[in-house]
Amino acid sequence: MKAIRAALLRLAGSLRLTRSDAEIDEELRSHMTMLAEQYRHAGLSDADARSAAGAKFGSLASVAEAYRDRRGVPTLEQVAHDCRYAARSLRQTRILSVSMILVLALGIGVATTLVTLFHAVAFRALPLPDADRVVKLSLSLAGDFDRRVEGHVSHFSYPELTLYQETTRALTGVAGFRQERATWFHGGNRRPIAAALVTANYFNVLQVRPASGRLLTDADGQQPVAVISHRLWRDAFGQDPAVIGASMLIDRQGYTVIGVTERSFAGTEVDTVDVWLPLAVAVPARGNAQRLVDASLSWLQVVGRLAPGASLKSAAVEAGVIATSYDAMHPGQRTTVVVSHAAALDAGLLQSASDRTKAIGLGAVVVALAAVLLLICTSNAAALLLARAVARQQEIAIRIAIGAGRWRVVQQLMTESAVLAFVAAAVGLGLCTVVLRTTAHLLPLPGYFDRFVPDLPVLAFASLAAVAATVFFGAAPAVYATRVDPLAALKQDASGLGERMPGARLRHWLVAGQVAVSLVLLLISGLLARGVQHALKVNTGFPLTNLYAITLDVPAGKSTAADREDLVRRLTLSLHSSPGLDVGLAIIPPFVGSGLNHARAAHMSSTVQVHFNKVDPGYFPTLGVSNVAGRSFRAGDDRSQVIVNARLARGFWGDERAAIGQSVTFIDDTANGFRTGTVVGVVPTLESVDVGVPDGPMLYLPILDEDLTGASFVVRSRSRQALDRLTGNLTRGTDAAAGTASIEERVVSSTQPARFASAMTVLLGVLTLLVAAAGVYGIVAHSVVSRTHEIGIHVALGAPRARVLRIVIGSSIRAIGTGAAFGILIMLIGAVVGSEALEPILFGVGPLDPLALGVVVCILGGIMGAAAYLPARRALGVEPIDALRRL
Amino acid sequence: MTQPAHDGKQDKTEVWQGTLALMVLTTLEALGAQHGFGIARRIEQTSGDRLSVNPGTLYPTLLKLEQEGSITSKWGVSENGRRARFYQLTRAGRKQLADETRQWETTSDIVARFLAAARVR
Repeated sequence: MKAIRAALLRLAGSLRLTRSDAEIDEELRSHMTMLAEQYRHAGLSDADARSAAGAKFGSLASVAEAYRDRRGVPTLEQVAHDCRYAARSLRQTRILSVSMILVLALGIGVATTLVTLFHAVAFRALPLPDADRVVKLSLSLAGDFDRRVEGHVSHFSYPELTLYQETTRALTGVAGFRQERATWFHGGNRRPIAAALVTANYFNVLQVRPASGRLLTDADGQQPVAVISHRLWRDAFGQDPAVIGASMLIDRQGYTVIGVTERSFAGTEVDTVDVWLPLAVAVPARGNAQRLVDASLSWLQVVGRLAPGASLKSAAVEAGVIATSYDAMHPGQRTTVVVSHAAALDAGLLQSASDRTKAIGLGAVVVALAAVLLLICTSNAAALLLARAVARQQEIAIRIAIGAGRWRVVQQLMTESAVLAFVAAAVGLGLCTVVLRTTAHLLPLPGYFDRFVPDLPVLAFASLAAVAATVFFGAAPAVYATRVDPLAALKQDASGLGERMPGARLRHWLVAGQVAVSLVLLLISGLLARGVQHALKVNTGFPLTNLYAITLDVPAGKSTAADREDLVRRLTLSLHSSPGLDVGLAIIPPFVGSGLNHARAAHMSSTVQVHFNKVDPGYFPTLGVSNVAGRSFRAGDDRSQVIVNARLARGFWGDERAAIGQSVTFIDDTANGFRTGTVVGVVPTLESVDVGVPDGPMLYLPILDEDLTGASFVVRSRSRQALDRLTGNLTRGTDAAAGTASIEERVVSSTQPARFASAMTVLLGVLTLLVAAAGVYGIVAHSVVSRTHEIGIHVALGAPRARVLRIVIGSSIRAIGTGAAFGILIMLIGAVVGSEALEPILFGVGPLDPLALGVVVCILGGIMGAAAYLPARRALGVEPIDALRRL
Repeated sequence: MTQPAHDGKQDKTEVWQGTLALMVLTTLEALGAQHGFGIARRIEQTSGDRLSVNPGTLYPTLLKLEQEGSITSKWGVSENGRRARFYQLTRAGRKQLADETRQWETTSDIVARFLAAARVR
């Protein structure tokens, strides 16, 4: 207690909060005066008394110093003094200091930004109470089953969800949700809105708190009520509390707003949610009532909360038991349930394990690139600092000559680096904040990112980067600079001649290192960019322009299946009769999902899993796909005629042409079992299920009358307005709605994250190259200036220009060459050791892609050469007389 | 804190820091509020001028005691009308003095016994 009090007071003393220097001085002087008075009383003369008092008291300065040492913490004060001195000496070389700070800030800022993004996407917990107890359930299916997928194959059907809700004990609650785009009719405008259709217990399971009003409860399950996000409340309602009780018309259904979620919550997925609607009301209202009964339709995402005492493992075991009982009702299907933490990475964008591995791999590479950029920036700063240290050699020599210990001087120089690094870290952090604040809404990030503030991990990372930078870029120049012979340094100008110039070797390796690292970095980012471009090459097999999908929403209850069929038929008729339109029907339009089926050829002993779709004769012509073999569907075809894609044909019969006339057995939902049909046509393998992925084996069945209610139109129309007019006319007066979506927009938006990642890597590579080039430029420029005398002598003795140039940039070119050789070596080793690890993220581009290698080496060589040549030209202009006079 | 003895009288012993704190506390208990010069003078007189108090040791000791809360200080006017900083015992200081006196007595008692035993042998 006493010690703590004393320590605190001393700390306060360091800040001059207790005794001031003047007070100390006054106290000691009064002591001295009293001492002199005492001597005068004893009979000494004034002068004698004063000198006797002085003799007894001792040196006022040294007593005061002992006093002051006790007042504060001497080491702390020394550090503060060093910092003040550092700031002063950095101000003296302002340009150099600013460029060092900028270079370091760039490195720290970029690294911090990338780490923050990666952290946010990969590891940040959901902003929920006890977020680590929130789990996500996903399915993995095997065996023979007939399943349609509207979303992802890992999603649940509604009956499956109900079974889990009724049975589970390891979870305190299981909630299902489905995120969809919807249209909000707001003040006479149609406004797209991100809706989540949720089970009534959704907010309860996640334990979300309301910012205003109340959230959905079990009692609201059948009521047309809505909960809105804080963001929508702010942006569309100006945070008006009167929003509670207001009505929202969403896709022709009115909902009463009952509450606003807390600010940090915008759903559990990467895609944020604006409005939450009860599933039992919203799904039928959107014309999908059959989803609530269909046991073989994957469409619901499922989250749960672990019960007290339960673990991920016990929940998974229990889920396995439930899955088995479910499979018993669906012979042939083998279901596995994966229970995982509901971190952001598990959700939305990345739904399968392989997606996740890919994302983590890509993220790790990006973070590694950032670390390397930081390394290059620091070594650049080190080179600049070294140049500064060489220039300060005389000053350092004087300090050592008058008795400063070498360690003390190193300490002083390191303090300067630390001041630089921390200023740079602050600038970098500012940079990072600005970048994230301004770009957050462009990225697929959790909703809370629109008000990004650096949190503890981010701050910790930035300071760690600064400390690492200090050690890395400060230590070598400091140790080097203090290795001086004071006598020699004071006697002559410190710059030597030729290759023995101080710091030449250290500089050589700094340049070589930078070149090697930026070569590797450029190569990797080039490869990544090529890989991503490769993956993004949208090669659907059909043109996307002017292609739309129209889906009819007919509220259930008010109209019968016959009404709906009738509506579809009328719409078909009017679409067909409009000029300039191509129209087709499919139960699954492109890039919405896929159907799963099982099929086998006559010669095969067991079935294999295939995708399927049901289409009408207009579908392929509308897409612009012509047959590889056989014919297209015709009116009147039934389930005994099927079309397969080239992939299925090759897999089953070895050849597209051989498939025609063959029989194939598949699950027919209308026949409630297997049936056999004849292949009448083969179409090319398209990319119509997932963007950028060629379809698997695909079975196309003709669409029948009973399928019409669930069908969507695929239309190619030059004018979207005309299309909207057409559907508007048709649905006017009915309670149905037609939703038109551009397939091209759908494809483009799904490739956004990958495009962003690719752009990011290229940007990083270019930044690195620029920083490295600036480093080489600075080093060569410095060497030209410090070797002016030597060059002058050469010129005076009649050396030709080529020789002068060689003297100046010869060593830099050698360093660049060494660096390039090392870079290629590192890539070779990396290719051998890491090819397996790199493979999934390179999307089929080899790690030593000769094109990428050649281009990168040429670009790097050109830019580095230019960076060395430009300052070297100044050497050619050296006037020998000027140079010699300055000697 | 090594300070050269400037007074030239080499026979005087310099007070060592550990015991100085105890002497300061005893002096303040005896005299009440007192300034640095008065404390030094009193200690030297009490020792029969066998001790010399070095200001370079005294003032840091006073400051240390103050930081630890055993004494407080404030500016005042001396008997000769001079401005000086006066030090005074706090309650915690009185307790510390009692503790340290007891401890010191025990220590010196033990050491005395050892010395007596050595003399007997």
